[in-house]
Amino acid sequence: MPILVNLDAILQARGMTLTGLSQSVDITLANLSILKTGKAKAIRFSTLEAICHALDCQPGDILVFDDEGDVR
Amino acid sequence: MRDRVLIVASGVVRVAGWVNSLAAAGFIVAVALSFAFADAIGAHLLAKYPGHDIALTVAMLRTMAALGLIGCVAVRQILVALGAILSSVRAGDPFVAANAARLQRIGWALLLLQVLDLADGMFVLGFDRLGVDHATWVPGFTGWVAGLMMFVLARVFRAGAAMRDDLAMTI
Repeated sequence: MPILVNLDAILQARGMTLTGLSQSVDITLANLSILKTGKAKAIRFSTLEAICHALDCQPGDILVFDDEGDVR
Repeated sequence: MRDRVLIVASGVVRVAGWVNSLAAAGFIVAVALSFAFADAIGAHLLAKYPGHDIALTVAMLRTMAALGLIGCVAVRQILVALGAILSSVRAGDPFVAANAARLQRIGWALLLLQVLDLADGMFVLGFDRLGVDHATWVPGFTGWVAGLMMFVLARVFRAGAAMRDDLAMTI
């Protein structure tokens, strides 16, 4: 899919773990893991808002369009 | 999930399964006995219908019984698929691709039953020409519509299952 999830890099930059983010945004670790590994098929605005709020970033920091990305 | 309709439907499916098995056994026994008592049956029919083609009449009756057995197989397919669908509803997870495949199987089985019904009509016509007593037969469209409906429902279920899968991967 040409939409890549850049969550790992943002988490690293903020010095936060996925578990910490999970507690901050009240989304299960399993679901965040699905999102982080790019297995999610869609993301809710509310999820995006919560993550952006917790990581103090913009949606564009988390989601990246890459035309060369794997097509599934 | 305790739902009276589901409980009743499961019971009906189970009882229908037993009745269908009995009917299948009946057809098998009937064909077997028609060979075992071929002379007695022939003599009885000859006494009732003098000058008729008895061999053809008996052959047609045997073929009808064989078609009835095929019908029982089709009904069993329907009941097994219906039972599995009911189980998935009771488990609270009916919108799965497997149920779409089951509905499609039910659709094919219903179409087969309709074709067998048409064949039954042909036999009734044949018995009429032979001058042999027979049950009445009227062509029906309900079964054809039900078969078509199953194929449409199978598509709806397949689309629903795909949507559910998408939703499950929505974070």
